[in-house]
Amino acid sequence: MAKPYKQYTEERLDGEIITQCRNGDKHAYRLLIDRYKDTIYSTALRFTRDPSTAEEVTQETFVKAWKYLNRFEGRSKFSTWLISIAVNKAKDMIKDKHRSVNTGDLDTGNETSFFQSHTIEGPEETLMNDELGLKLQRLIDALPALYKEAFVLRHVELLSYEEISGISKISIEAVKMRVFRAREILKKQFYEEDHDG
Amino acid sequence: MDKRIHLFIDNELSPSGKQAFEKELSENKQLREDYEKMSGLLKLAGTHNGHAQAPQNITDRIMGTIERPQEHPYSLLRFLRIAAAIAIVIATGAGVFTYVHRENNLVNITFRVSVPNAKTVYVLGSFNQWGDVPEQLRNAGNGLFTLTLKLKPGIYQYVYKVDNNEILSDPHARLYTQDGFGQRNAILIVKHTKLS
Repeated sequence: MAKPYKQYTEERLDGEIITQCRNGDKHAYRLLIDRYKDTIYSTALRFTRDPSTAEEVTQETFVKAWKYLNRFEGRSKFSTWLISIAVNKAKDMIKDKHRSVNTGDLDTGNETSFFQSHTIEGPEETLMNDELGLKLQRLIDALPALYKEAFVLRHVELLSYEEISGISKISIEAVKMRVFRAREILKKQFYEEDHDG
Repeated sequence: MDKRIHLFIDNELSPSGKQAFEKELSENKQLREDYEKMSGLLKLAGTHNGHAQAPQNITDRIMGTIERPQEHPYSLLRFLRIAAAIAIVIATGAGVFTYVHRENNLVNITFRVSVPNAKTVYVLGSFNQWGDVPEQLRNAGNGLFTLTLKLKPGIYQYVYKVDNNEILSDPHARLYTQDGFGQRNAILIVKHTKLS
C-alpha cells in the first residue's frame, strides 16, 4: 500500500509543539525536553567533561529556553537553538568554576575525559570503547578551547558554519579558520601518534 | 596542508575548482594521502560522537523548576473554551482517549470517530506503518466507530480511511501537521505515564 501520509519533518513537528507551548501547554514542553534532553546533555558533557555540571547545564538550558521561547523565531532548527544556549551556558559554568577553585587553564589536557571515565551501556559502549575513537576523543579534549568548540560543533554536532557563527558570535570566516586549524592539529597529532606507536 | 582539502571536504570549491582538484587527487599521491587521512579522521569524529543519555528524571526536575504560567487575564474565556471542547467530545463520543495498561508501560489508546453512514473506518498511522497492518474500527452504531490499541509512549501521526476511499483527518485532535500533500495528519501524543 502506498504511504503518502508519512511526509513531515522533525522541524515541522517541533514547530507544532512549540506553538502548543506558547499557548501555555506545559505538557507539550515536556515533549520537547524528552526529544532533546539527550542531545543537550551530550553536548554539555562534551564541553564540561563533568556529568554533574552537564546535568546542571541541561536543566538550565531547558529552563532558559522555556523562558525565552517567544524569542525563538524558527530561523534555525529548534535543536540548534538549544545547543546554542547549552554551549554558552557550559562556557559560563566553566569560567565560574575556574574562578571559584582557581585551578588554572582548563585546556591543559589533564582532566579526565568523559569517554574515559564513564561506561555507557548498550550499543554505544562498543563505539566508545573503540580504540581509535578514544584516541581521537583524547586529542579533541586537549585542543585549545576555541578550536575545540569550533571543531566539535562542526564535526560532532554536525552544524553548519553559519549556525556555529551564530552560536560562537564570530564571523563565518573566523569559524572556518578555527575549524581548519583544529583539523590540521588533529590530523598531525593523530597520525604522528599512530606512526610513533 | 593544501587549503583546497578543507574546501573540498566542505564542498565549497567551485565546479571547475572541484574538477581540477579531483584530477589532481588521482595524480598526486601526497595530496591523496593527505585528503584520505583528513576525511578518515572527520568520519571517525562524526561516528564517535558519544551520544550520552541524560539522567532519567531530568525532565521532571526541569518541569518542576519551570514556574507555572501566571493566570491568564481572560482565564474565564479559556475555561469556557475547554468546557466547550469537552462538551463536543461528550456529545459526539469522538476523540482519542487514553489509559495506562499495566504491562510493558503500554498505553491503551481508544480511537473514536463519528462518521455517519460510513461502512468501514480504518486508522492509518505511524504506529501501524500507515496501514500495512490494517486496524479497523468497530462500528458501535449511530455512526460511531471505535478501536483500542496498545501503544508505547511517543509521538505518532494518523488519519482515518473511510470506506476504503476517503481520507479523514481526525476533527478532534489537539495537534496537526501538514502531510505534504495538501491534507493534514493528526498528531497523537502518548504520554509517559507513571503507574501509581
